[in-house]
Amino acid sequence: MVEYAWLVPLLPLVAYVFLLVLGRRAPEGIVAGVSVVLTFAAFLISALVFRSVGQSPDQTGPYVFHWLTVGTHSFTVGFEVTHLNALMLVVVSLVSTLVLLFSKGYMHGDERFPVFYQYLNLFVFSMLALVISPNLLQLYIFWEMVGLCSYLLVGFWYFKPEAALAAKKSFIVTRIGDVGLFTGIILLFLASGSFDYSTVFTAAAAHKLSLGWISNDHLVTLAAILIFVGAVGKSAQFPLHVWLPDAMEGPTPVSALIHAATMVAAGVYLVARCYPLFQLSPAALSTVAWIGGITALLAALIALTQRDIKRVIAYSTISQLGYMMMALGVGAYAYGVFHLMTHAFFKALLFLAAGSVIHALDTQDLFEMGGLYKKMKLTAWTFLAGALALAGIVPFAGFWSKDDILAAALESGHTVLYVFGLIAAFCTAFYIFRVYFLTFTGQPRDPARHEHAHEGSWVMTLPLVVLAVLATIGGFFNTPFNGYGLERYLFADSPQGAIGATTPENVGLMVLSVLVGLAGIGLAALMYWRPAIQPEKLARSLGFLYQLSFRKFYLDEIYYAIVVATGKAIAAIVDFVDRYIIDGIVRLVARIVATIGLGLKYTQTGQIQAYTAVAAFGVLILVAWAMWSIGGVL
Amino acid sequence: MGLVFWIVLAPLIAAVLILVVPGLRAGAHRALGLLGSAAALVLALAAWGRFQYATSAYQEVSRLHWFTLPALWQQSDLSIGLSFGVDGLSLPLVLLAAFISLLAGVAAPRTLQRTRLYYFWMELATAGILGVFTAMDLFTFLLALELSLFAAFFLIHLFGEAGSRKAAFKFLLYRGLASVLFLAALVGLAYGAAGGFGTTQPDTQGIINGAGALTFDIPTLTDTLHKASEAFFTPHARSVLFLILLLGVLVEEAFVPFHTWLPTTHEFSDTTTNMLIGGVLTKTGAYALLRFGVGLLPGEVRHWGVLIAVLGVINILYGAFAAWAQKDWRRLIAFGSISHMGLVLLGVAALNAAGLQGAMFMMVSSGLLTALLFFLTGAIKERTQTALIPSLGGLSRPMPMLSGFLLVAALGSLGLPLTSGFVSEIQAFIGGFGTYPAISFVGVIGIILSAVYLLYAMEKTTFGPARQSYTGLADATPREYVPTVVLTALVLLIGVYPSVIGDLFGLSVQALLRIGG
Repeated sequence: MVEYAWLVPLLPLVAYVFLLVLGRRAPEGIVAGVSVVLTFAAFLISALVFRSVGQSPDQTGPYVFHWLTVGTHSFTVGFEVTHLNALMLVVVSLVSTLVLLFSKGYMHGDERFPVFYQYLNLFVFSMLALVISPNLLQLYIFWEMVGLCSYLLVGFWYFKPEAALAAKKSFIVTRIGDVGLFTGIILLFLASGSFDYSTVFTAAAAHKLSLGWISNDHLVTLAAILIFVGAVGKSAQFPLHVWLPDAMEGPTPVSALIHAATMVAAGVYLVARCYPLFQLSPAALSTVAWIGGITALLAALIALTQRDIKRVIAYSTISQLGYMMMALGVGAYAYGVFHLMTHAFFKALLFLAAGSVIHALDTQDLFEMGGLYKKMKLTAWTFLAGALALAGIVPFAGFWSKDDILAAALESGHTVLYVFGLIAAFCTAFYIFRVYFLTFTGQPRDPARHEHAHEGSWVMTLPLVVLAVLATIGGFFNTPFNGYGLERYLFADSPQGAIGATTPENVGLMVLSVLVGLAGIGLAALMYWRPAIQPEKLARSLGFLYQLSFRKFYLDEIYYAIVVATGKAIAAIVDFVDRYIIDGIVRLVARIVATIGLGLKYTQTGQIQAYTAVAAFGVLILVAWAMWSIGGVL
Repeated sequence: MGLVFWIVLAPLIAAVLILVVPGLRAGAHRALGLLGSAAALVLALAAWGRFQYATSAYQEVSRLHWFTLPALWQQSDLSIGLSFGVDGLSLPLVLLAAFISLLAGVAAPRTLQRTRLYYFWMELATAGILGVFTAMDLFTFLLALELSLFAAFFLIHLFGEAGSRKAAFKFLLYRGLASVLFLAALVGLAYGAAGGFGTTQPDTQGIINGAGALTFDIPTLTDTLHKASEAFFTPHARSVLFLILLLGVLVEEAFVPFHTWLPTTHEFSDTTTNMLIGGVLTKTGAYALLRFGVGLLPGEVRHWGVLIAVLGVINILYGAFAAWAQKDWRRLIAFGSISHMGLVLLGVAALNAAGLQGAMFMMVSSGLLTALLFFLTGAIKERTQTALIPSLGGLSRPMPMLSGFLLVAALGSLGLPLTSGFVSEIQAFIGGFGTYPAISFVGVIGIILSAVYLLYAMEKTTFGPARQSYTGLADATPREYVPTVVLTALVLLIGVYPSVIGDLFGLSVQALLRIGG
């Protein structure tokens, strides 16, 4: 089965080309139908690939084809299947199928409906091709392609100035990270002569990665950190996280698929795929852990106070991605990947449920919502499943994966990171139930909007139900009850020395993290469900701290002042130098020449005698110079 | 006569016919012009089909002897004539030039006045550029360069916007200066290869006596000089000649600080002239650097490598920052092209396979993308009457196809994978990091900046609320689809399957790298 894995990305590509041929006026039913069916087929093949990889421990492939000759090197493209990317194929194709189905309802009536599906299919293809890449070059190619799709989809409603700005911002901020990845890949290629993962990692393990100017150990650290910079951009880690909340300007299914479940997890996947390299560099691993931990906490703190339902969930995504990075950084490889999987399910669910709410109310402001439970029971219940999973309440999916990460952080001696994680867990439970209570309970704050609210059709509710089931039971892929099935599966790729199946469950920690989660939910309930605490009063008494969270730690403003303003200033200076100094000198020279020319024109008297006299004089000088230089005759 | 000879001759014949046949109407001028360019393209494609990949030598060679200067130097005659041929370095550029010339001809608007002059100069410029890329001797090279120079001068002067006269003279003076520098450097090299500068190493006297004869033939000069230029020049003479050549390249190629002619030229020229100048005419300098710099004086390229690499990075960043500040699309594209070509310098300075091949890819890629950008922004300007970025906006609604293709062109320019831009960038940077890591680390900032200035311009042009004044404007016409689709297809073809031209470069790049025997 593995040798047919190339079909997985190919099917969405076929859908993309088909829709491109159909054009911009194709009927919605055919457009959505073809996309869903082909992506679902890709999911089925992924599932078969996943199973057959599990059955045969021997890795097959990679299957590569020649792409370009550079000097004595051959660049190749192709595909490979590992345990890690087989899991990714399943997750990506499954969530994609559900989102494509959901979009049929959500985007109904949009005049560019077929274009939306084109972009989505292109994205699904690129994401699957990224995951299945057998080398860093191809990974980078599709890494940029998913970025392009994100750009196109964030800016899908191109006529909205905010969407146009957000699209540009997302591309440019992630590109800062991409340049790190680009450089890292090039350095690894120069040192090992190959882009292939296995060749690079083997050379690194054998201490053979060195260039004239840098030793093996330093190069491993440098390259790992450069690769991580790419992951920081794509996975919206601090300090490059600022693009993701703005990316919520895109249609909500896009937020669910690209900016929650799949593309933003590509950074985590990248670090996981390059884990053998990171493991050789304690400095790089520790960078990953700390950036992850800081991001998890920072984003959770910001999410506490946001008013826009999608932005809360977006900061939640940033925070959860931080958990995954932290897991990888402290050595808990399998837990990071496990959390990636559970998060994909429950975060896609939360976004789609939010989409269902936005679709019904036509607002994203939490304070214009309220009391929706009565009108949208299914959305409310599925959202609740997702919220419980995110809050890490037993036995929902997020509980198992997040708890593993916290335990691993403590286990590996990262006490501070453990505390960060625990505080973030409290905030997580609080902010997501704040959303839940503000949206679904209490009285409608905007009766006019509430009036018309209703549940979407089956294309919108079915994906919610499927994802809710996964968010509820998805954690059981890796529990003591099934002998840590997922870990054993993933460890067949054998990143040696990673913390994993050997760690015993620490029941005390489990109880503590559940209690922290329940405390967060409880506080949210006291503030927004059965109001015992006035949120406004609390906000006022917290004063600056509240503002810090609400204003997102002023990071956008700081970046604007430092980076953007500096860049624009340099551009303006360069432009000034160009117009007035460089070109000014040119004009000055031209003027001088012109003036001389004006003067010299009076020598053009038209009298042969005068010309001859000048010519004779010139010959005289030349002869004199020649004789002098030849032999010193004069 | 070899195939390549006819590639150059075809547009020349067309030009002559357009000029001398009396009583032709505008349609006939256009037809003749397109025919000349189309013939050149077909022949170039044929040369590609017959290309021998197993050799780095010139192929399809034609030599026309004109006259001999007897006993010019140490009883050696100098043969003057025209000779043409292609190798792996020149054929991709010949194809590029033929494509762009034909597409520019197609792109010329129906409302064009003075078609006789237009297509005459257009075909002459095409012949000149094709001659530059196919020249096998120095005389042919310099002659063709002059031909392209004054033909382009007239195109700018006669068909540009108000103010184009100044721009045309600026163009003429700068490129004329470059030609003079090339002349000095190249004649100096030929003179030196005949033993004219003596030597510092007595034991190489044998080599010199063997060479002896004065020749302008490029393959002979390459054979003589490439591996042993030390034997023919004192270090001082070598450096002086190389620096004259390099200065010529910098002026010819519009490198900072000798670049101000390029934005001015593009700002005042018409769309099709811009396609021709931006697409191919600004690749001649880089070609000369590869052909004569790396080809004849590789030791000097290595010796001055740091200087060239630093100049390259300065151009990458300067071009990008300047582009960011531009309000006019055409000036933005011009500075973007300067930034691209900076990467060519970095790749050449690296003097390894990836760097040189990346430089070649970048020349082709930048040519295609610059032409495409000029065409699309020109088409937009025809409708909106402005190329000023702040005056545009929301164009995706009235003209979704033009906007879509403009986005593809911008993405290609910023080096998005699966476009030719990426293939060029990654190879050039692999080369750059291989030889000059520190300088290249600074250079990669350009990758971020290219996204900044291009997406900024896109945001202001096609995104945003639709403007009242632009609502009724029509999208691309069938005639406009031709250059748009062909150029886009080529950009994507090279991006998806780079071997299509990469295999052409391979052996020629290898041959350039064999230094010191």
